[in-house]
Amino acid sequence: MNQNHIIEIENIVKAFPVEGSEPFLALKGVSAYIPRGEFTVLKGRSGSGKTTLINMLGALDKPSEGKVFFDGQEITSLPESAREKMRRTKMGFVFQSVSLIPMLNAYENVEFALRLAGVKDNRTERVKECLRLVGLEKRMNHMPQELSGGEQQRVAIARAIVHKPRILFADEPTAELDSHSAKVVAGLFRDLVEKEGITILMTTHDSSLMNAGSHLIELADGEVVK
Amino acid sequence: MFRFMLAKLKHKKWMLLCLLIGNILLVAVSSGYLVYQSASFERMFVKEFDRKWEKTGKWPFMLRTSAWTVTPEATENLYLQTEKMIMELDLPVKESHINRSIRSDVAKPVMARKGADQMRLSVGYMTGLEDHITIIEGRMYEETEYENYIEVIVNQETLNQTGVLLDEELVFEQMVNDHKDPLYIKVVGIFIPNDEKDFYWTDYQSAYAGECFMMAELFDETFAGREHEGYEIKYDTLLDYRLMDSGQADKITAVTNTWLEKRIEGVKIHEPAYLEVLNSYTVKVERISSTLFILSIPCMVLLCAFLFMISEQMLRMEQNEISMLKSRGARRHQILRLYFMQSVLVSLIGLVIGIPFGMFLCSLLGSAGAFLQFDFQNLLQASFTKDALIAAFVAMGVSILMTVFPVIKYSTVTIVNLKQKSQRAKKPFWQKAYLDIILLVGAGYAYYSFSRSQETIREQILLGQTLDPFLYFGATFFILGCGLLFLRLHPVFIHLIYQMRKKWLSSASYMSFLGTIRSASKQQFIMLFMILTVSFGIFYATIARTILENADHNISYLNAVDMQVQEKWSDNAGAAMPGDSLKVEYYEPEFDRYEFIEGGNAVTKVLQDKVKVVGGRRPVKEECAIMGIQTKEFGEMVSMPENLLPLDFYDYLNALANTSNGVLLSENMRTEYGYAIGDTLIVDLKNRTFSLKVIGFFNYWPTYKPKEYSVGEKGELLVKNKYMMVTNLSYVQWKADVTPYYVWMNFDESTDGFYDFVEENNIKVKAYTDMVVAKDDLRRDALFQGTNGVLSLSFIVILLLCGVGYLIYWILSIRSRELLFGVLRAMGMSKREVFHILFNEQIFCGVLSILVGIAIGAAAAGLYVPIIQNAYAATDQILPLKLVCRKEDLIKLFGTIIAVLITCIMVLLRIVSKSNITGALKLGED
Repeated sequence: MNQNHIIEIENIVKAFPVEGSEPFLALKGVSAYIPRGEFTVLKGRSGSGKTTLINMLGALDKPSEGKVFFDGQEITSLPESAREKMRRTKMGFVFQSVSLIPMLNAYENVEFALRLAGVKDNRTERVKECLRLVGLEKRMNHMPQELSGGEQQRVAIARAIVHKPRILFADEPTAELDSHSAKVVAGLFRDLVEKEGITILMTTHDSSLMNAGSHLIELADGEVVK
Repeated sequence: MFRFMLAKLKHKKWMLLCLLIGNILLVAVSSGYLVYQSASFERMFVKEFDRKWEKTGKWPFMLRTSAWTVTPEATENLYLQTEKMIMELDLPVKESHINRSIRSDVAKPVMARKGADQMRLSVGYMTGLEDHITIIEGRMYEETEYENYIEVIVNQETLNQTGVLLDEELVFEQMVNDHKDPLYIKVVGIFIPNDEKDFYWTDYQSAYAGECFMMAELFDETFAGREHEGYEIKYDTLLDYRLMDSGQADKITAVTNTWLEKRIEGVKIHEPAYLEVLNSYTVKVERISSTLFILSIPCMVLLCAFLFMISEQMLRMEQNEISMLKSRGARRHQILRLYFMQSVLVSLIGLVIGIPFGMFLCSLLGSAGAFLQFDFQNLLQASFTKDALIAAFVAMGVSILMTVFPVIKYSTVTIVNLKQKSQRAKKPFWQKAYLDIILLVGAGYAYYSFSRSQETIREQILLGQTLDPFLYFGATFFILGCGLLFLRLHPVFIHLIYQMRKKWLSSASYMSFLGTIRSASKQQFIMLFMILTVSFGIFYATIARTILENADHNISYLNAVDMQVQEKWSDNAGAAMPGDSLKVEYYEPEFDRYEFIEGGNAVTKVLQDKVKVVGGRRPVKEECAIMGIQTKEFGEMVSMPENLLPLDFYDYLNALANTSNGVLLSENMRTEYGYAIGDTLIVDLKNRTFSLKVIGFFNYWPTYKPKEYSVGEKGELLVKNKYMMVTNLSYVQWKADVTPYYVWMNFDESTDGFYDFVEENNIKVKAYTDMVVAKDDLRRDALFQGTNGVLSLSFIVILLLCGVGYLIYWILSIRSRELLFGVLRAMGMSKREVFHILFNEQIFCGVLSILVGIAIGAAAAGLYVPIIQNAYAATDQILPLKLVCRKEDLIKLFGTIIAVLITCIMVLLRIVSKSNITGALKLGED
């Protein structure tokens, strides 16, 4: 495995059973890699298999066939507890829909990721640092419902990076945002790669964001086309 | 629209089922209670009259009218008016008979004899007399064609009281016919009634004393058409109360009173004895129905609240659809109509199923022997009433209101409002209005005022007044107030623990703590339900057990043994001449026979009589009860509740056994008359005097009532001290000869053996008590059984609502948080930790509510049951009241609640283990 690649995948197949018919193949033998410390964009039309692929890479789901290597380790065969630990400590997630915990305020939402990762020291500073990074330090005591969609997504990003993960997965993070907010988020990602040295994998079908990253993978109909 | 509604309902099967359950229960409970009430009132109605019949030996539902004019017109008028009145009363006639007589005139024997020249006798006839008597001496009257006297018969009382002799010819010199000839009669027979209890005898035999009965035709022939002083015709109509409808009570009273007030020329309507029975019946009905109604209120309110909650939850789930409809231009009334249609549909189904289910509940209620104890073999048969149907429709209406009401709020929200809605918890209405504090103040006031006036409450009950409903509401207010206060304090309490343990909390516990603190208002409803279920459960169990067991213990105390029987002893009293002060000698029946009664296991003699205290420290004005006992057998057969007496019960018996002339006195003889240990008193028992030595005092003794309550003429409560002494039977029998005693018996199970024994041996029983029957009566008493039934059913309904509500709440709560759990799982939380969050929530919400419910229920029982108990205390409640809470009731209660909790946790476990992250996350993209 190439040391410059944080993730490598080989011949990933994902089949979903369909009642009374042949299984539906969402991924048909995908092989690719994610370069370490870079901002990779995974593009494709809706239904092309982006979310399915990112779920495999983020240890949220297991492929029907094929292997996923994360930091040189094959992760599909790991027990659930190991995969959970990996998600808690080495990965961060931002989802299409706003995924903040509604009864926690912005600060607590971010801090919760640190708790999950088992970080005990200097939590307050780190949380504030991350919120400053996304430009929301002043609104840290606000509840999610009191923030706009873009602001909520920025809090979600802060939460996804607070525990210093190796990689940040962002599945259509801008899908529900207006174009201005979407640009802010994309800019934020670039900053993160530069300042924090984090690896980012973002899926999008928004053509204006295709060029935001330094590396591009394009999926069509469950296969890599680029 | 209708199709849309059906499609919508199909998608929410579970919620629909809950709504249906709520509707069915509401209809069933509200109609079932009424059916039960009318059935038990029917039973009580008959029982009240039966009891009166038993007590007086006379048919209790009789109407007597009379007239004094001999003319056929006057007689006709009497018949006419009576029949008119009976028709107005609209009651089935069992029998009627006529008694015509000419009252009390001086008669003297034709053959003059000493001391018999001034006898007051009357002559008359009674229809149907021949069929109800036996001639014990002489013969029946016959028509005398050739004699100038009329043959008559008299009863034995006439013989004893007036001194007429059999076969004696008498003349009424003042009673003359047209030819101025006086009336001659001859006593040809003496009769006794075939059966004195036969309802034909509308008066006691003593009332017929002095009446000489002759043939009806002869009476008419002799007296008809002529004015006679003292002539009276009595028309007795016996009405069959067993065929009456208890609902007629008010009408009967009203019609009777109107007729009583009427002045009808020549006709007198006697005030019937049934009026008194009807009055006491009406008072009882009022008291029982208001008591049962008040007792059933908490259950009804909870049912409405349940419907409201389910409807709210359903609307919350449909919020998106409503907002969408609204945004697409649906008018508010269209949305309201949609939900109204849905409510009507559901409540109609509820009505159709609820009514038969209510009938089932009613028969169940009628079989309730104790709290949560139903006898399925002995279900009450009841018929549906109009009131119950009305109640069912009212319930349906209430249900529609409850389910449509929340729609008003939701129908104003468009999709935009929905998105903008802030979810920051607002203080609920009741908190802002300090409802909890208000309720507690009300409960405190009720407690304070009622506990100060317990004596007054008892008086009210004894006088047959209806109780202040506030008395019952006090406990409900208390439970509700405490529950709400807890809900107010709950987040503060959780916050406190959170603050203390913040640093060491696992991420799962952290989530559950903050979740509970921040979304407290969402859980409050279900927590309140849980608290109310547990606390009402404990309260109901305690109240039901306490009233029944206290009454039961009281019966045990007053009856002392299973049966007390006094046989009719023969004596030499018949041989005495009137005015003789003869010392009556009794002939003791064979006692040994009682030892062999089937099923009996112990037997003893107990003298129970009255004595006069004629000498001693101070003579006692009132008559005093005396009990002569055989100490060993008495002690073996009778048990006294513990701690009633300062010393052990057996110490008293031993002291008595050691002093042959010793006597134990009731405490009031010490306080009222100053008697002390060592005093001697002289008593008079049936003209035989003997002295006794005081060796002790008692407040309680089997069968002893220290006070007797009765209602005075002006409706005031009269209290009379009762005095009693207990001594050795052998000593009394030595000093005052053998006088009739009671045989006290205990049986293994049933007392049936005794009744067989009486029949087989043809024993004449003068008096008896049967504790088994008394206890059985108590259990079937409309008030006790109704209370048990209503409390048991309310409890089951509340438990059911709580179980269904709790499960539904949590399932919905998890379903609504599936995305959140997906996110948490994506962030690396394990299924175990997610379950841990939910488990913690169960602890904070469910278990804590149960614990608080226990505390509130126990406190409410401790504070209010003794007050409410007064409403059930009989006039002869002697024993001090004891709070009773049975372990088996609590096991039933907690068993069910724990089963609900475990089911809930199992369901949660299943949902969590079946959930997958990617599926949950997808939810967010919709």
